[in-house]
Amino acid sequence: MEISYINEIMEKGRLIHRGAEAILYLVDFLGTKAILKLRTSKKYRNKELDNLLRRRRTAREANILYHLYKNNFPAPKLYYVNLERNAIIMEYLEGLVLKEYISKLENSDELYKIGYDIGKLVAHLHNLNVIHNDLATRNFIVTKEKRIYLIDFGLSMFSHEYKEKALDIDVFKRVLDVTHPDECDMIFDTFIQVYTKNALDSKETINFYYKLSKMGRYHIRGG
Amino acid sequence: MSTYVLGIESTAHTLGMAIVDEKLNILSDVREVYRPSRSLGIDPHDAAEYLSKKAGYVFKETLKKASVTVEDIDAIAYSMGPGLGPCLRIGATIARLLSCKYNKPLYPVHHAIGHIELVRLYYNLNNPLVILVSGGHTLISSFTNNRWRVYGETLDITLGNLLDMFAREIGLGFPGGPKVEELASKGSRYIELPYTIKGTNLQFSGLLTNVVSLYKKNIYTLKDLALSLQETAFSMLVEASERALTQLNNDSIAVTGGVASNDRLYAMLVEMGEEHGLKVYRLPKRLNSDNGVQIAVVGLKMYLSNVEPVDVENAIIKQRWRLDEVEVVWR
Repeated sequence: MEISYINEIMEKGRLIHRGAEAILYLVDFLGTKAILKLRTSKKYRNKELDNLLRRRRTAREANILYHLYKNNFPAPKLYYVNLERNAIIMEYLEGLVLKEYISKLENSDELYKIGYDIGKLVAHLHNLNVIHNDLATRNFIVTKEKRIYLIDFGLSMFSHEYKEKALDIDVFKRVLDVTHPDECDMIFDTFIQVYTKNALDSKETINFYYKLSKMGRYHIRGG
Repeated sequence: MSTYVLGIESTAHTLGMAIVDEKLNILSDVREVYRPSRSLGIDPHDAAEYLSKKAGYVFKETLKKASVTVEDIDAIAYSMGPGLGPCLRIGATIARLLSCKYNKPLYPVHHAIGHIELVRLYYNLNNPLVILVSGGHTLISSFTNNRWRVYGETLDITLGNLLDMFAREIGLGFPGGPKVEELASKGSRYIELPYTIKGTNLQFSGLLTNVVSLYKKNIYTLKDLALSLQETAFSMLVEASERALTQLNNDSIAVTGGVASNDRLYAMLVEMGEEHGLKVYRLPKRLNSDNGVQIAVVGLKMYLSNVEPVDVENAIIKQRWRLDEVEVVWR
């Protein structure tokens, strides 16, 4: 596939999101509605580091998306990747971002269901040895059928280490704390129960997570 | 009639005292800094002993430079934590003594809130994203619902630790930040190092281990290693800050703490801020490192807002104290 074709569909497409490390366009890719994710250069970053990071993250994200697709994990399907342009083209998922979905909820039973579904989802992800590294509520999409998909694998990696899994959970909890202080407990308590039941090595992971969350992490200088 | 507040800072290696007035004028700012030996980090007991020996001198100088008598002071504020126990105890003891002896109201202040509020008040900022980077902290914070919430932070060592420990390993001494910065400015080649970011949180210890082992292999120049260390660690921090920004509605960026004095970090933040149309603020370099002013300004705000002072018996210290535990009632 030529870079000129990617540039062409980008120009015809619609910019739908400008994130911290990439720009997303809604494009027409070979006749199909799709998302084009372009990792753009960061002016503040050293040129070599910038190129290295963008290429490596694009390649890793593509690998992970394909691995997830092969294992029936609810994430966007990978259509195409181009490492010269640091571009990924993937399935377009229609729905609401979880962050907004939560704020529109009227009854609290739904919060348990969210906790339940995400508990299953993250257990499934970790069982496939994938760590997401940014489990924020803006990285889940709820479709019309109320199916939850996980998106943005830009910081993700392969690992079977329970410490990395625990950190994933820690990030999720932190995001809930600051962005959904009122709903946090209801979602998180169910999440932990369901995760524990479904994830491999969940005992080690959860124990380590509790250890992390108790540390408070105020590092005293001097070391 | 002016209002005068004395601030006492002693969370780690600095004993700082300062007097500010109700218009936030800094009337005096006196400090004594403990320097550990070249090969070792801070020994808390050594540091505390040093600070206690300097206390009398620092107090007298603070009054003298401000041309204020101890009777003129309206309130005393001290850093209650977080920090090194033995050092914190020195500041708290001075504060209790002065409060009893001269019958002055006493206000405990969270050290990090001091750093954050100082830069906010200095430039009269409305809703900044604050990046606090020092030997004690590495966090990204924004004010919501009466608290400075932590939107990102280090999951292991701080950025200040990283630079100091690298400096120590290569024999540059303490504090290492400025020396690493100077060395890095002469570097030309980027060497790949581990870049670890989890959402808006960071990890630096793998980076430290890696750069130290590359140094020991003796194949790269020190200046290139310093450059690569700075570029990697700072890019991680700027990326995490940018990620936090995309979730929040801040109208400016502020960077503070000792590492904020690094010009390369500041330049990177300015470039990132430009993309979002946000200005980046930082204090005159002297005010980035630990000082009594940051404690005095928060004490002043508490005093002027009629916050209940603490009794001497409750003027304790908190070695561990999370920023977001503090309800900011004086704003």
